[in-house]
Amino acid sequence: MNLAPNEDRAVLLDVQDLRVVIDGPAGLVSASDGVSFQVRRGEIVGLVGESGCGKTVTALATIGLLPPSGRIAGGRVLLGGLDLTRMREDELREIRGSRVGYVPQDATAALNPVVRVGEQITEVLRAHTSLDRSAARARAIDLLRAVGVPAPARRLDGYPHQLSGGLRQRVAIAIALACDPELVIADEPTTALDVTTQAQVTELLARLAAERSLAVLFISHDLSLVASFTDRVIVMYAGQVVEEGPTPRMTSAPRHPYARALLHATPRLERKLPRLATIEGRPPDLVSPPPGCRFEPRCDRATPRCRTDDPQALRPAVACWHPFDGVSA
Amino acid sequence: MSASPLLEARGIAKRYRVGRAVLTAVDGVDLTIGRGEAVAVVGESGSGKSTLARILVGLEAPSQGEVRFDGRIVDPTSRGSRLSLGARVGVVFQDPYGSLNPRLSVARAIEEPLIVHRWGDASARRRRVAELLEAVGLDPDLGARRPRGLSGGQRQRVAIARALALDPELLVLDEPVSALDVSVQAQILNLLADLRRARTLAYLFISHDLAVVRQVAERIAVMYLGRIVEIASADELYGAAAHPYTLALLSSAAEVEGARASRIPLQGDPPSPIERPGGCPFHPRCFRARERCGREDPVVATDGSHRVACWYPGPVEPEEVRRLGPGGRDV
Ligand SMILES: Nc1ncnc2c1ncn2[C@@H]1O[C@H](COP(=O)(O)OP(=O)(O)OP(=O)(O)O)[C@@H](O)[C@H]1O
Ligand SMILES: Nc1ncnc2c1ncn2[C@@H]1O[C@H](COP(=O)(O)OP(=O)(O)OP(=O)(O)O)[C@@H](O)[C@H]1O
Ligand code: SF4
Ligand SMILES: [Mg+2]
Ligand SMILES: [Mg+2]
Repeated sequence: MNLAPNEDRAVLLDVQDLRVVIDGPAGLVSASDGVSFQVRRGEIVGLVGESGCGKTVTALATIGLLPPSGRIAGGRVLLGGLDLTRMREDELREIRGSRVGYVPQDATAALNPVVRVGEQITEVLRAHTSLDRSAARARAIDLLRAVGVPAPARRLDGYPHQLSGGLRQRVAIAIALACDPELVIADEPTTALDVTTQAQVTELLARLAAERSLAVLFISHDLSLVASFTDRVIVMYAGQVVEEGPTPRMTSAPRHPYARALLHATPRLERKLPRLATIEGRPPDLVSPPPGCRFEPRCDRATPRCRTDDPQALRPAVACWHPFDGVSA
Repeated sequence: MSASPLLEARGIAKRYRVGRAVLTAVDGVDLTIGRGEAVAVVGESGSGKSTLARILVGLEAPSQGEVRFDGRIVDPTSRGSRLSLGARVGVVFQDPYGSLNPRLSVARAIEEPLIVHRWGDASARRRRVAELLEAVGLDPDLGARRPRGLSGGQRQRVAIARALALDPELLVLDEPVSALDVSVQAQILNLLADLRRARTLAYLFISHDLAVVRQVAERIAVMYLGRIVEIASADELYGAAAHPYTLALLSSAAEVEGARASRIPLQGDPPSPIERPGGCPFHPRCFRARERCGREDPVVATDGSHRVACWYPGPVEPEEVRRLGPGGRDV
């Protein structure tokens, strides 16, 4: 999919030991607890994990958009070497407009209901580029066409509520791509879309990655979708990264028991599986997580050591005391 | 005597008035479900799946056509028909949060259909509730809890237990796993497979996810703009789909084991159920459409139990792959 091998390309986003706490009703939630990963230029990285594992919080913290109840408690987020966690709000805003595009999980909430669709796109373009009004409008039409909005010129004068959920989602993606960013962070950007549209959007991202070296962090709970177009997959569990690796291996022979269970729980289009793997129980409470491995209560490979020693000590390798070998099962 | 199929729908249409326009949600659907058969309906958002399901279970009256359950006409306006159908058909909806009354305990939620149908006395009902909790893999102690304290998967199990309360012959499941995490989704899909091993139970399983459907269904109907455009056994549909829309859907679905081969793009605008295209309803978006498709409604081509509403059915030809190019052309 991409030409240069990953290692040859420069690191664009470097998240180091990121810690985020959120003030919740039951106490301080460690939603992101020592998360480290990198995204290289032109690379598409999938971030997967079940609901509540901290994908959105990690993404929001990365680009300085945490809600007031959340704060970064440690770690660094480097974008091309600049530490975003030390930036002022106005500097961050400039970076978000021009260098990083963000597609929020709830696209509907991201659009202003009383501003015409076209203005919401041209506003971003006028603020961060030197395009004049008519050039910005032409670019907005191109963008909408590129994300698969039919009859784009007509849509510009409409309001968000006149669009279907799928079209609103595509407008949000168009806004994120407006200023030709180096990095797009997209949080479940296609979950509300039909599969045919989903495929169209992921192909667009893949094309931009290949042609313009756009880096993409694509958050999803859908391993098959992620498998279909990413270069690398990061698996999160209970606020931590438990394993990462190249997509072909992560979708055939992941080594962490949670990552493997996730794979075997996923239904296949190719064939009917005799039985799907299940993971009994629920993820731990992130207010007072257990001291050892957070997956231990649900893991069928666990030994007494897993209850006392935290396998996060093993990162960046697989965070597990008893990982599977890398052979597919 | 069970010569008639379990459920038989003929010529079902449903039109809604929206402002001054008419919206056709379902447009001439024929569907049969055999005893103990698992049938799935797939299609994209707005294709009419839920509307069809509501009509089949007598929750809504069709504008046209008729539904028979075990040979008897389903009549939503007759209380007798509703009650007798209610005992023989269980229904599970998508939203595991909205479908349970937050004020009732889990046991009470499951008991409710038993009370409505005057099933047994209080102690028999208590035993039945315990049995049902066990059948869906829930701890009987959970009965005392309110839905609020349950996980999404547990709530969906409760909804299934309630739908099974009167030992129905048909379970209608409208997107029952779409809101769940994969690990929980897997539990529910396994449960649905197990339930059918233990009893003669037919499913009408509605989903937009072709991989999920593969785990559950023996026969699959593909809906587009209110029509069933293709229906076939699961093996036939995944192996030898013939309708261009089914081909596009299958080629767009993501596979865990690798990139998509070559995707067949849909062209133009998503359809409007208010201004339905003439001729074949799919023709404006179809990669294979010819002049005739815009003019005449296709006649259904039948090959055994495989039916396709298309003038030019068949697998994707090499020439078509070349013409559409890698990843298709859609922008
Ligand atoms: N505003 C908030 N207040 C309190 N807790 C929060 C808030 N936002 C997130 N959390 C908690 O932080 C943890 C991580 O949440 P996050 O939204 O990042 O999960 P996610 O992986 O994105 O899940 P999903 O797949 O459901 O979107 C969860 O335990 C969640 O309950
Ligand atoms: N009560 C109603 N009044 C007016 N229009 C309706 C009504 N119910 C459904 N529709 C319309 O009928 C069409 C089919 O809707 P339906 O909910 O059956 O689709 P669906 O296939 O279940 O979609 P989804 O996958 O989004 O659930 C849609 O255009 C919908 O807006
Ligand atoms: S460290 Fe132990 S408990 Fe954790 S995943 Fe590995 S084997 Fe399972
Ligand atoms: Mg999220
Ligand atoms: Mg529906």
